Amino acid sequence: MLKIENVTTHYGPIRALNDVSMTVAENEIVCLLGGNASGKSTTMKTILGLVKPTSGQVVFLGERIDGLPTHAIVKKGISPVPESRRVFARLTIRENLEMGAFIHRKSPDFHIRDEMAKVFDLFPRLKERVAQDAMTLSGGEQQMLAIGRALMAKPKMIIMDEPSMGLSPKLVGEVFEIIQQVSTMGIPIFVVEQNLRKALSIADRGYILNGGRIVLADTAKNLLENENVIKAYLGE
Amino acid sequence: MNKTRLDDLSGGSQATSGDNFLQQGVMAALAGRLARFSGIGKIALLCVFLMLPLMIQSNYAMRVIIYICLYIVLAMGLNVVMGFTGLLNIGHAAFYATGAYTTAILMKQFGMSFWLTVPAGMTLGVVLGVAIGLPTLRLRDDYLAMVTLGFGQIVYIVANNWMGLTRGPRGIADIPSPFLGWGDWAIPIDSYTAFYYLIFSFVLFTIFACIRVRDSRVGLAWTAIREDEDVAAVMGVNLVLYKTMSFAFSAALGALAGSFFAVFQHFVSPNSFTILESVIIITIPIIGGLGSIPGTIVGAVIMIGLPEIFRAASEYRMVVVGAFMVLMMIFKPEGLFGKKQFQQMYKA
Repeated sequence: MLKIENVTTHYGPIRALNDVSMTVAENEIVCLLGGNASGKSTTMKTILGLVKPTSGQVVFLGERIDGLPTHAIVKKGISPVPESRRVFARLTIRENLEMGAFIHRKSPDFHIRDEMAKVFDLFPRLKERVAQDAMTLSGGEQQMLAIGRALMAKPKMIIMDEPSMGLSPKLVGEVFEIIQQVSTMGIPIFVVEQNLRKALSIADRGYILNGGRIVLADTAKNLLENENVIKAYLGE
Repeated sequence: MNKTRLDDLSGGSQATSGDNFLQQGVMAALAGRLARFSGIGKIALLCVFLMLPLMIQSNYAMRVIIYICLYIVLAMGLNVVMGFTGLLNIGHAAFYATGAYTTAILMKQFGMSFWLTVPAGMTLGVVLGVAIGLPTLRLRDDYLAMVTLGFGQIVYIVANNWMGLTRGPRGIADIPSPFLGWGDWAIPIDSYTAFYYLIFSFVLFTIFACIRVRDSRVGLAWTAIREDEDVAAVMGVNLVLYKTMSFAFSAALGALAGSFFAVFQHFVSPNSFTILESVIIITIPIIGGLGSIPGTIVGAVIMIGLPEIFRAASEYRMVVVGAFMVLMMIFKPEGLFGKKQFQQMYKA
């Protein structure tokens, strides 16, 4: 579904990604793991077109998307949940969700109320607070809103940047349960994470990134058993 | 997995149903009440404003009120860019000048009707807004502010030096009054009362346009850009396009105010469009609360009306106004009707 082929990305003279290739197939949860400065966020940004790769290509549903502007890429059906949630603080929850459906603003067969009702089924808490500003929500609620906002776009795929960041261990567990639940709706999910064990416990496959290179790609089960690699690359 | 479990996720914020007085401050809540004002209340308010010239005899007072209205139109235009979209524009007077000179030149040199010069000025404002916006709105924050500052200066310098078109510092004098109606039925707009009704209709148009655009998809995209432009982009907002639209909308309202200014003063010169003018316009939505429509109106009353009331204190009046602004920024940095910022909420 999403194919990244031999992508190299530079920030000025600094090479952040070096010949990275990976795929995400239908109905899969794929996680990209790595420590600080390993290139995780750059991979996200490259997929979303926020930075342009210097070489290689990104293909989504058989179509090249690298080189397209960000708003055109998300219109193809990739819906992001950005790092540390980043909800629109002074917009209400309803407005945040409406923004999630922004790409459908001109499609006549898109019914925003139906989509919002689906999100509220998943997160009844949001429905109670629909007229409140997003900044009044707790961290966990903001994460729900960010995921709900991504779902509003009726995405063909969701990509998440560190959903566990800044949340208590209990909330992290629950966020990952939500991710699994979203996945059962038939939406493939690509998760970028630092929390290796949690991420691998729900993922189908994982890639390990170090210094801008993919050093290991395997099924989640095999990666979890590969203690040496975990020690070497994540210092646990 | 059941739903109660999902609900646990919320951690600990309290639902604040209905009464958000404490959170947003009394003024913001008041603004909310005002917006929900009943239809009858609005009509009553409208009648009061329509009867204002009957109640006020003094020409001087009418002149101040007309100026307040003029600045409401100007500041509402700037509020679109600064309040809704979150872009700092230190050159709004440039669009104001565009409208004023368009009306002045077209009426004086070409004998055009005022009513045709208004859309002409607004169109030229939009063209300039797009021309300045498209190449520069990729810039962020301070850089964009620099560009708008430069743009304001360029328009001022052009007005000051293009003798053939604007007559430079001598300005364009004897701009005719506009007429309402045709032929024998033409009523000249040349009294304070008539000018008041003209600018009042512009104010109503401006408020209507701002409310409609704020509540539209476009307005939502603008506020999303203000809150977090990177996330707005990954939600599918074409940043340059929407920022340019915001600039163009703002420019059109600025030019509208300019057209009125030209016929009201019967005279335009570059001195009316200096950087100081832009700065005064900027303070209005900031005092009132960025992004708030009632706030901008109240801000104009304070910034334009207050110095006139303190005229008795002659040269000290700007000190009073200055002190007022400093106190505002210390005690209510979000403005009278503004929404508090996230950081401000948790500092208390």
